[in-house]
Amino acid sequence: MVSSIIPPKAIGGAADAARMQNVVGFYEKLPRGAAPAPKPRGLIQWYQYRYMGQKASPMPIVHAVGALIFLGYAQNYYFHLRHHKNNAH
Amino acid sequence: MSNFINVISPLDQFEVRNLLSLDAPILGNLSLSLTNIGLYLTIAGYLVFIIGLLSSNNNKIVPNAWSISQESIYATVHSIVTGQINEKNGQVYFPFMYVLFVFILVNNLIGMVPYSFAATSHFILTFSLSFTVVLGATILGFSKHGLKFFSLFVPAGCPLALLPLLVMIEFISYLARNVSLGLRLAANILSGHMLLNILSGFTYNIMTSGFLFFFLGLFPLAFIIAFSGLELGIAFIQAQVFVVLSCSYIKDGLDLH
Repeated sequence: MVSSIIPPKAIGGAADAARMQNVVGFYEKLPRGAAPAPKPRGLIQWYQYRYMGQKASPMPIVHAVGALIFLGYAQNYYFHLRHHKNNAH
Repeated sequence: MSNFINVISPLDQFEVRNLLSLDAPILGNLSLSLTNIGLYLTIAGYLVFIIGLLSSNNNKIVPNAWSISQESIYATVHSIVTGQINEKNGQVYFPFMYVLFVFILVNNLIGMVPYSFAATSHFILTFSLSFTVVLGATILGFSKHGLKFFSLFVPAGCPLALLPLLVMIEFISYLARNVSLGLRLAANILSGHMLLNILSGFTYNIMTSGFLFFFLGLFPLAFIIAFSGLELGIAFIQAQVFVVLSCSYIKDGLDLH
């Protein structure tokens, strides 16, 4: 009765030796150390890596606002502002 | 007379213009056009998509600042939906509410950019949203409760003599939801942009009329900048209010008070 509890049969048991080796082998093959940093490929991934990756910065907001101002000014200039170049009101 | 023709209306900024159009004398004079409202809605859509895509932080568990911003929007809308509708049944409506919130928020914010166009200041857009939401909530109520849905118009414990009057009032208030939901959003954005436009026109005239007036004009300029900050807050608040009320209308359709 006591022998079934102490020592546990699973440890060092001959039947489990192969399986234990499998487990050890599995963990041995796993990559060690810090995970490699992903290399950006292409323009969008580069942008993500540069501004929205580990060093997250608020610059994408500035870029979006800048692009919107450019687009909006171009439209305002075409439809309206160019007609007021020499007669401001 | 010619001086008066050139006066800019503060409503000029909301004008819908044709940017690209295709007119063909086929299929009943087909006319496809890209207007500036269409352009800015498309830009808003792509902006949301790209930000969502890029702020994933390479699917790492620990977020960076961009993924935290996305997660906090998610958490905010999730708490609104579960708080307003139901802890369990409300989850189904979360994707719709999230899209609604982000759509309104991004369009409000794009409207705040100088020279840009505020799509949410147009009643055609906000009424389309609000009528769709309220109509959807009504269809939801009918499909769930059948004709018992009309008990929504009967306040609990109402005396029989007052019933016709109260039902009329409740019915009108139910119909008014359609208008009030969209009106609130568009009127807020419209009035804010018009106020900023009028004030900055005044300030421009003050500051360009003399050396001393330039420095005098710095006070109204500071006020305008402060008011722009307030408008930024309104952009967030209105998106939140729209979603909260949409949730409460859906809850009315689901639970009938």
